[in-house]
Amino acid sequence: MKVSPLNNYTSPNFKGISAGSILSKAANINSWQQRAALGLAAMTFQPMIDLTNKEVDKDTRIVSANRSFAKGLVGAATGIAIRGGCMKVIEKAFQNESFTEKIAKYTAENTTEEAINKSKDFIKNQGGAKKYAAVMGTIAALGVMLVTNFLIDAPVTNWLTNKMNERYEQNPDKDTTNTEAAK
Amino acid sequence: MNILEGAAKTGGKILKSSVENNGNFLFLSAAAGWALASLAQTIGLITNKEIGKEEKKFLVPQEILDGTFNIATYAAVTIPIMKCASKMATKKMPDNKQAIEGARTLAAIAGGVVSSNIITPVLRNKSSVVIKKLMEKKDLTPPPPEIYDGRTYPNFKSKQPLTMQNYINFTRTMQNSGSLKI
Repeated sequence: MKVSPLNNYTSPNFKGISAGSILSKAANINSWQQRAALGLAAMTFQPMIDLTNKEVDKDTRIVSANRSFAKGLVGAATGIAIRGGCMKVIEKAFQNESFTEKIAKYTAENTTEEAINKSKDFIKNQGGAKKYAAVMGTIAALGVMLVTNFLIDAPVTNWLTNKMNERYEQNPDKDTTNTEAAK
Repeated sequence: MNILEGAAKTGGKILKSSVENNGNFLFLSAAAGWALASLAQTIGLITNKEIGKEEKKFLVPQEILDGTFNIATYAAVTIPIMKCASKMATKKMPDNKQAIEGARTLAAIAGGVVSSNIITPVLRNKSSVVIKKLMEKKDLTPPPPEIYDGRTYPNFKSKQPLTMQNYINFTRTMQNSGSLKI
């Protein structure tokens, strides 16, 4: 098949996909995205490990896998929501000039006006606000989650596990997703 | 006032360094989250008046050991992966600092996935058998599941065989165990 010159046209803005460009983007992954990756892995691998645990009986394996899945889902959902929320709040705070000036002052290389202005420019024009908010939001979220871990994660995980277990108890043979793997 | 100014300056340095070394920050913040969750579990156990003193002598160190073990596994797996990723990226693209940091960031996440989702659950399944035997050997009465949210297997005694209902009761006691909790 002949390809016309028009089809060979590539935009001057297209720089191609290379390992370097992918890795450069990965450098901006923040903690809620990290939590999402870990949550997805937890929902996949941990139930699989539980379902293949030959030291317990089939019913126990399924209940155990339900529990692991529920814990992974609820933990990821709250972890992502709280981290993301804290980051958004702090990012908004950077719209306040006084807050931005303080952060610029304390993150500057030195105390000269030039260094502080450079720091301010990083925050305002080079995506610094988002990057600083990602770090500050993560630290704030750790504090918040110490409380929500007990108030939200634990009861919701129990509720979801019980719902999944009830479904299995009502129809143990029809729960093909788990029983087949658990054999 | 000087103390506050000093603390703010230190905070600023940490903030700047965290942004520049994202991989390290993600690694440390995940470990800190794990440590805080374990600390909360331990404090909950110590302050629980319904658990006997003798039982606490066993359960509290076990809880601390469990948390320490989880973090140690995470570090033991993640640090070498990060170092390896950093070396490889530096070799391939020595001038691209952003890409090197990206490799370290991805390695931090990969280390977390491997240690918390594969190694720790497998080892926990094995170690729980040992813990159960030790508790039985010391003739300790495990606290009822509704008042203890630790990580032993209080329902699995010889008089209470490993049945589905016992396992459901047991999982209710495992509020926060496994994986990166917060």
